Amino acid sequence: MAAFIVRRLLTAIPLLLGISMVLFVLIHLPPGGPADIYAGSPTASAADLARMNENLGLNDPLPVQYVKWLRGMVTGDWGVSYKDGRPVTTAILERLPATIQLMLTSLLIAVALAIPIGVFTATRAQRGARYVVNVFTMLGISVPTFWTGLMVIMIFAGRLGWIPAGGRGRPDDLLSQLHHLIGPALVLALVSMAGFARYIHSSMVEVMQEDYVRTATAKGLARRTVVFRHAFRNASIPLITLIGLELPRLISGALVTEVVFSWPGLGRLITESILARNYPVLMGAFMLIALMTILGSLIADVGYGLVNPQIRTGERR
Amino acid sequence: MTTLQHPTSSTVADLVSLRQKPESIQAQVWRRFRRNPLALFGVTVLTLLALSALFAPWLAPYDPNAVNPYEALQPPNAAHWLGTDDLGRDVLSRLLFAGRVSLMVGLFTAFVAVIVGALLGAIAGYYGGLIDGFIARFIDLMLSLPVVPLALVFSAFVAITPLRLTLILAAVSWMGVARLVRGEFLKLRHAQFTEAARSIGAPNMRIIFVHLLPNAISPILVAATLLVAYAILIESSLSFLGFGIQPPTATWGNMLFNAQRYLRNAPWLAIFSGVVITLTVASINFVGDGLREAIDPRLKER
Repeated sequence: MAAFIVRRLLTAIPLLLGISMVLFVLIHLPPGGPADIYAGSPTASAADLARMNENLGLNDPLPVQYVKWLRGMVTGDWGVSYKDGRPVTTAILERLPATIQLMLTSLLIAVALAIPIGVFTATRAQRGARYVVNVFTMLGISVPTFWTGLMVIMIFAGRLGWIPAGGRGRPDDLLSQLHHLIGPALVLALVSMAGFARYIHSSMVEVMQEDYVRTATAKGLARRTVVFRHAFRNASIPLITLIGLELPRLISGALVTEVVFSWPGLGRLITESILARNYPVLMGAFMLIALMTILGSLIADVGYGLVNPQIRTGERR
Repeated sequence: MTTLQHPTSSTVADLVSLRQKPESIQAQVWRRFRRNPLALFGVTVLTLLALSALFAPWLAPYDPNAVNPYEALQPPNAAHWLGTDDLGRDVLSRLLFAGRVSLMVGLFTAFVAVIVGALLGAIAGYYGGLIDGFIARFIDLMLSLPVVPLALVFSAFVAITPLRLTLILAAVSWMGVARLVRGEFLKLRHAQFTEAARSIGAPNMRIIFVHLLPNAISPILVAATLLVAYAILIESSLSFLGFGIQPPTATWGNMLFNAQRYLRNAPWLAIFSGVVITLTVASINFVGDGLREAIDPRLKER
């Protein structure tokens, strides 16, 4: 297994290199640049703007800029934010914990709710109840995250006043932080939860038809033992894979949710940086997201590998 | 074919049906699809939505962009069924016209993405070797790119029109179809009927499009359906963040972007556009799910 993981990590290096190249071109290619923000300003002359571009190194040919950036990236120097001159790494690291916190909490909620729903509908529920859950999980997949966010703010923060409408809470007060976390985390969890529940449901239905489940029932084991010890244990193995594949969607969902709830994470950093054409910050943040995506697919592959040894030994490609 | 009938007459019916042509696969799929109430619900809603978008100019009670400050932020009433927004524009009219843009962007994104994906997947799967390695790596790379943020960057840096948005969205969503078609082609490139076609001198293009591609039509159809839903969701997210199609052209997403400032005073603004988006996307997903089950009935038991 260790060898498999190492091999997968090694193939990630050329992939990351390719991604960085594509990202760099896509971000720098569109017309305009960071100096545009000052273009209308009366105190900034055309010469100033030209000097600004020169100082930022934006007049170099794109390949030269890329090699410079890459050299920095590898040695841990991700460049300097155009906004305040601070290192990009600092700007990102300052926002990253909030995003990670939001994502992990949502993931936890999603899994914790999806398992009972999926198992219940697969084993116990009457057709009617199953139908209702089917409709609800489908709606959960279809509803735009930002809209659920708006509705939650409107109802639970506005009308009922149960949760704050935004922000992250006082840094020294854990309770206030949890209070702020609850809204965005639930909103972000909804989509993943619905997807997980549908998946667990179908994989449970499949497993429940297996011979060994019938054997377990036949030898007189309690229903609960059969469902959880025998069936669910097998139905849940691919859950790791599912979580890995969910990561990219969770990240982009988190970005939108953060904007809705004024959650001070990567998402807000990215939207701010897009508006200001803060290239180094954008590159840094996007590379980080790409890294997390690759990590997610690694987790997914490890999940497959746990179930199917054929993949581990490299039979696949 | 045979319905519940008296045993003797059913055997007669069987004999009769034996002489008739066997039921085509399309008919089977349709028969199974018809029995799925959620899928039928989806088709109905989508038909209504499509018609209302098509006939928006005749259905809309007002000009969607007509500003009327004296009637700003009116709750739903007899004159404005769904109320008015901050500029006094009729919400119902705007929703109808926004449906044109949102549905068009969704449909065309799926269309372009399917063409690109099917073409690249077919080439990769059919020729294999170096070409396949190159395309497969490219698919992997595209799948690891942060898609939504990139789409954000582009729609922020480029003056966005519905056409450009469609191309941006298609550029980041063709990979699923490509993977699917590639897999199917890899499986079939050495199948007997492929070799047979090759042996009688059929050109590659003919084998790809006439012999192999039809085998992948069903999964492509399902994927395309879900792509429409995906594109509508992403479009609305972009517009909601303020980076999509710009006002005054209404889209469901930018109506929500506008609505968030009036959550307290005019909640109907946010409610209606969100409900329409959810209803549309859910209907498409119901249809996609129904199609999948109808095409592969083994899934039905799950």
